[in-house]
Amino acid sequence: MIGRWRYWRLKTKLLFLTLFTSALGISLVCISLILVENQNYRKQLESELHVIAGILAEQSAAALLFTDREQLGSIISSLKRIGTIRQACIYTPGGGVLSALESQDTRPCPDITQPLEAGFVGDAYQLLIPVTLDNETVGHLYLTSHLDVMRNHIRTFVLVTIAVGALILLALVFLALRLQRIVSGPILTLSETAERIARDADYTIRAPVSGTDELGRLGNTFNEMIGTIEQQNRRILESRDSLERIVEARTSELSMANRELEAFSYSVSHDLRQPLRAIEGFGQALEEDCGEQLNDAGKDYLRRIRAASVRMASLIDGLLVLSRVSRQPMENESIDLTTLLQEISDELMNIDDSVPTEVNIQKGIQVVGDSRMLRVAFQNLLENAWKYSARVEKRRVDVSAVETVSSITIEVRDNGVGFDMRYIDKLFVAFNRLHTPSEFGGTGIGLATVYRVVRRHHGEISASSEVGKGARFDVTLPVSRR
Amino acid sequence: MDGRSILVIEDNPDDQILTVRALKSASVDSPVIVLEDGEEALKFLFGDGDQPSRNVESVGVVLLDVKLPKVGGLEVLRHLRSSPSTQWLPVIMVTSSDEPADLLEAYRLGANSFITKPIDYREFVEQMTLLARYWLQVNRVPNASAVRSL
Amino acid sequence: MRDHLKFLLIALLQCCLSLAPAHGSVRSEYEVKAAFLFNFTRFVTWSHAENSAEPLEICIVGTDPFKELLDPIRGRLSQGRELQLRYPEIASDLSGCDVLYISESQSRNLNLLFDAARQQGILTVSDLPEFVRKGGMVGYVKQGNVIRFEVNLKAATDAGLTINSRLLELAVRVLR
Repeated sequence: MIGRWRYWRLKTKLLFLTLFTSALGISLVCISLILVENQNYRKQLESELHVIAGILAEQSAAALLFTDREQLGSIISSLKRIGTIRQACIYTPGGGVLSALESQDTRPCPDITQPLEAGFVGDAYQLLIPVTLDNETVGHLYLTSHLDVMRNHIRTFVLVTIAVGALILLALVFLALRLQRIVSGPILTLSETAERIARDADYTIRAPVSGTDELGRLGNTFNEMIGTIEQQNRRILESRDSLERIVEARTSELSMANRELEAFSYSVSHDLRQPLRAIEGFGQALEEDCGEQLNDAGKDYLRRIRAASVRMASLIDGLLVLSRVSRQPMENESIDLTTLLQEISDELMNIDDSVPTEVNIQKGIQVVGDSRMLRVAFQNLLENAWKYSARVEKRRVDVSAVETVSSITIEVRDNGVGFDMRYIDKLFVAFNRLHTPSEFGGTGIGLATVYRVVRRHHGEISASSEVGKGARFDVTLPVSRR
Repeated sequence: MDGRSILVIEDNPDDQILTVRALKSASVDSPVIVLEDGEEALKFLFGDGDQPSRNVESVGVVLLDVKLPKVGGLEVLRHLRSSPSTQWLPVIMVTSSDEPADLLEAYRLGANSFITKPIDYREFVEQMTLLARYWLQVNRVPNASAVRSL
Repeated sequence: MRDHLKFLLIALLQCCLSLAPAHGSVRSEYEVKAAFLFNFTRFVTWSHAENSAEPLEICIVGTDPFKELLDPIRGRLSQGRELQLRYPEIASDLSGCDVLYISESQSRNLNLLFDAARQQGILTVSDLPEFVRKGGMVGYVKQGNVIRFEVNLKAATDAGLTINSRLLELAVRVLR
């Protein structure tokens, strides 16, 4: 039971404490009263018996001297009236019994030549006093009294004390029940208020406070705390509102910027292409219809014009792709990268199979991302691999993937010409090329686009190479869905 | 070919020349009518009122540029599809980009096909060849009377 | 009761040993009378004996029935006074006596002795028959085998003696 002290209600605890201490106090008082009464009663009994014995001794001195048994007998028989006396014996100085109380349940007179234990012995009190005359012992008087009366008295006393104690305790129970409310009341109110505030998350509620004692201070402090919470909540809401407004503003700015960009891209896609179309179209027409009229130089110039316009077209296409990759919303899904890469490499082999090519793509590479953007990115990477290994005897492209708990890293390797690691910083920057146009053609946008796609997927890309020994690109994409 | 003409609606003069030339390179013999903008196109097809002009019956297929001044290409398409006389007229949209939004809208409005105007002229000619093979030789516009009885 | 008898026998034996070693288990008559004589003095107050340092003289006049039986009481203290024994020859030599034991041989001089006792405040004790009726103050009587006594209170009071009521209680007869 005490072990479950923690689980008792406050009221019960207070009640228990009060009653326990009261009961303890009352019990101690009762016990001490009983003990004191017991002592007093015994002392009283003792002194009474001593007085009786003294009187008797004084009375029987003469009779002892003159060995007047009759007189002694009559003296002693006066004790019959005192019901508690069990035996009274008068002895000569030598120890012989001269007279004794003759009644129903008397004990025999003890042999006083043996040492006698005086006082409370067993269930009786006995005493032995000398009978003196002029300070001379002329005999002895033995008196023994039973303790029944005393015992009854004590018993009654105990019962009465217990009864009174119990009654008082009962009264205290009622009193305690009332009084504990003085302490537990405010505590319970406070606790209820706290529960209500927590349940309803309503921080306008305040706990009622009465008094200036510790409970009162607790109540006030509690209210202060709630007030602070309320205030802070308001401030948080205010700042959240203002943040939301800022976010809205930015979003609208962003979407405006995006729309402008879209309009720009659209315009680029249509309007910029038209002049290019004219250049290329009329260039071809010129070649077809007036080709014989041109000399070699003219034909050469025309060829260069047409080549330039083709280059410009692919630049514009690349830029359009790059811009689309930056502004289009991402639609993430689970993608089988192996299949995608296989498609791309099949396409590339279809377009150009001049160089014998071996392609190894690891099976079962799964990633999560936007399929259009990833296609664009890996298309760029594989196109690069194809382009820069166009001069080797046997082209070899390997794609492998390594998974960790939180990411997957796809490695694209080729055995092409590689690049100089000194210029690695410029690798992913738009329009920067690490090879001259005479070495390899290209727009310089491809890797910038790859970089943009990877960054939008919250991934990372790195590259390493040795000139003449091929290049290696590592694309790391996070695995957990967003 | 049954003598009907190809109606080309294109605003850019360069593109006009190139388109005509592409048709020629694709060995298309039909006469080509070139109109500059949507307004002219509508006037040609429908006349001044809502009365269909006789020009309609002479047209075999329409090459309609998406981007036209005044009345836009899609607007023209809508008109063509809403008028019973031109409902069945094959319309091929000509776009200079393959923005999905444009294509979807065109198909929704009832375009029959589309071609893009790539920078590479040869591609354009190839596409025109394909076009000619299907739309001009295989496809036949139903009779106007047959349309009215529907 | 048997126990009582046993105890009594042993007690008496011890009493005899302490009081009269020469005699057997039972005390003789005059042993008891001697003891009584001593004990009488403890219950009597002499009016003239305010000085309790003075010895208490017990005079035995006439033939001495006690002889050595009075030896145990010689020198003992009674009410703080040392007991002394004197054996005066004639009645006229009673001055200084506190107690006068009149033996049987002086039965004819009783009145003379009584006068002297009355005048000098002397306690008269005897075992002459009808002693107290004749005017003696304390007389031994024998009831069967038990020695008891009688008291003539008037005679004692006339002599200026006060007899403790305790003694009177024990007397067979008190003449007032």
